[in-house]
Amino acid sequence: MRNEAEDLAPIPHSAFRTPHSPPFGYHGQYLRIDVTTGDVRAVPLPEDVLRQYVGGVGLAARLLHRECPPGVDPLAPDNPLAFVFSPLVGTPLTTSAKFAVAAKSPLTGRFNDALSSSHFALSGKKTGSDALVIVGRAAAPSILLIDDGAVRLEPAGHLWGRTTPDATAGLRDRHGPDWSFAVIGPAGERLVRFATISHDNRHAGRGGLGAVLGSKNLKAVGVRGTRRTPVADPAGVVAAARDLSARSFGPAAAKYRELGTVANLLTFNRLNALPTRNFQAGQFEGAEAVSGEALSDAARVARRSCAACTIGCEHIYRVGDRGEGLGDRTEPPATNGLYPNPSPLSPTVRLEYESLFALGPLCGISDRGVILRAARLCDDLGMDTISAGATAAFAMECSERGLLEDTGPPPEETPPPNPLPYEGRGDQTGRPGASPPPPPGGGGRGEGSLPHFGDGDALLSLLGMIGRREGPGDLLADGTRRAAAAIGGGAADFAPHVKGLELPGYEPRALQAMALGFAVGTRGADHNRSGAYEVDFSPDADRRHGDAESARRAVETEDRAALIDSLILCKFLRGVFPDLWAESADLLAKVTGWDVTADELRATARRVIDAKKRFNIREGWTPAEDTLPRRFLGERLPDGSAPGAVLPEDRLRAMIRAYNRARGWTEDGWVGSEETPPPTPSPTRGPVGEPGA
Amino acid sequence: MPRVRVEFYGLARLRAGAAGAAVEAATVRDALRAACPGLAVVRDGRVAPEYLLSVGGGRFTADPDEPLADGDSLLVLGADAGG
Repeated sequence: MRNEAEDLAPIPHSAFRTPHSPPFGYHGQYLRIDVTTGDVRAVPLPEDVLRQYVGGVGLAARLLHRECPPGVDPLAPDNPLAFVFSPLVGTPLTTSAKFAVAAKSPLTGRFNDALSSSHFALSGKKTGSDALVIVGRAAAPSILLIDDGAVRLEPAGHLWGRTTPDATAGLRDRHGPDWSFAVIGPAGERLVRFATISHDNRHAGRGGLGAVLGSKNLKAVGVRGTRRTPVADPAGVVAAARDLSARSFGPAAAKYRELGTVANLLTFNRLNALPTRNFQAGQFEGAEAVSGEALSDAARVARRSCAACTIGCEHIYRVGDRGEGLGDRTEPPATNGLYPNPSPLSPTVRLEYESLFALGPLCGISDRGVILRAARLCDDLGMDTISAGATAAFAMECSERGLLEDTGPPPEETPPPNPLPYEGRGDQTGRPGASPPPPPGGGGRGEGSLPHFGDGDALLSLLGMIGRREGPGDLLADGTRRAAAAIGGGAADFAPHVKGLELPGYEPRALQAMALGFAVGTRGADHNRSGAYEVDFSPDADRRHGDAESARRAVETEDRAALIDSLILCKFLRGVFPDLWAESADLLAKVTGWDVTADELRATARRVIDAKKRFNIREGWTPAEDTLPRRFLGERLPDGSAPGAVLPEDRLRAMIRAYNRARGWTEDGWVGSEETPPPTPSPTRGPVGEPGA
Repeated sequence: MPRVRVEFYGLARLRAGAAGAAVEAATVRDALRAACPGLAVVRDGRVAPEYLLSVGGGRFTADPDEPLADGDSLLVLGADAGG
């Protein structure tokens, strides 16, 4: 394959052009790159379309309606993968160096968008386009390079099979520091359905977009450019940037700066809202040991920022050996041996609450060293930590319920002979009632034994096998929904997903507005597109008894997220805005020169959410998929500060109806027909927004 | 006077330098004043925007004058729960 790749001819750069008068902040076009044919086209983006969808996730939703063929297999060459920038990218506004990646998800089969940050956004926009849309499949493993609008492929060569940090280092060595790269790891190459796209140690994490890039035989996308976009009011933008930066140093962002999101763990544990052992409990007896506070004391070594960010939320921890407790060991760990790669695990890792909960309490793990190694392993392999941890936790529960020895074949594939053999040792929790520890002698359980909650080696082994799609990892690499269907025996009742996307770290029975947000989320169970937990944590709501008012307020949190994700700014900044809508309108006006208002942006946010929903309807959505797994609708939480919390199905259905009404949809969630849907793809490929396009 | 437990989480714990304190207080305001006078959880008569308060974990409050009962736990949490 590599020899073939080296024979690839460069993609010709055809007729790259820029419209005469793009709006301020924009290039007024996107680049459509077909890596099968080598065809490259600059597609105009009319100003009215840009104003209607702004950028980021909003513009991505618009572009997928145009570029994604209805019913396409997410891993087929025709499924477009879009990297989308925004009008704020390249300005001095803090946290604005962000980009969205979007495609039809191989995990959910629905619209999927993921955000990432830093220099790729800056360099990508400077290539001269507001978005890069990639279709096709390269003939051999390749790197796609976009240099000031000129496009070419080069062989991936020895970088294929390398981890994300290794591949990035290799690309920088080869091309120099003025390039930025978005890369996949071994998981993306092997089409793991929750593979990530990584850049600067940050990740477009959810929904398996790394598998989409892998399906195109692309190890990485590299960008470099010089094309800047002027802003309408340079002095105004600079003044706004100074003001925003000053506010970002204040109390509203202090949590992220001083302790990071890992601070959530003890809070959620106290509120009985910390998902534990695959959502069987809301409190974890090992919470103090794996808390953000304990991690900071034992292992934090640095704090960093994305490009163009003044918050500095990245807390970096030293990766030690499993079980060492992260005392005073300072040398980096040895080669991990979990995947075929010559490099060791990277010596440090950035950790957020979501990774901590998923690889810790959700799997019953109370060893900080294991959690940090697992997070580093996921990052190196290029896997979403939430889905990876949730999938491992699901496998552990299947094992403890005796479901893994009688698995039937998956619907379309032959399962491995022994569904979940692994090499693991030890139950590190000592939890009463936990599965018995491995038999002493011989160093642990041998090949063919099954994973159990609290078994750190089992977790690390499973993650490695998933990333390589080896043995049982091949089935688990398809996520919990598909794995549950293959395993049977009621496993679907506790497979922790909505629409195929694994739940993040919020116990739905203890946080019932968030439960609604999960159920109706267009990309599945999602804490970044719905901030409904803000409703649960407010004085005028009962988090254990969601109602119509909770639903109405959940809509508001989704709308705010849609705006922030389209501008794009970091949500960690949201607390500094007394009036997000008015201030966002002011920022956008200074950049674009548009007379945009708060009300217009409210309509924009609704339009973006409608567009995502319409995409899902087009791809087969029905009201039945707006729900939660049976576990959450039938089992009570064990006692805690949300004692016996339960979410009856009729209560969830009532909230969903209220949500749909508040959105202006039918009670079942269908988007009204009074509006014309965005156009479907056209072979003519005219400008976006042209009648008939 | 009711005996209550004030528990600190996240930034509040970091700044208070303790996980909690047992105090005698009749209201939220009094409990905060007794447990963590330097934390400024209540500013200008209102709960500062970077903090959330919960009585017992079940309900949240924004009222510094909310009465407390004997045996109550007052939780001082960070305002932004997401991550």
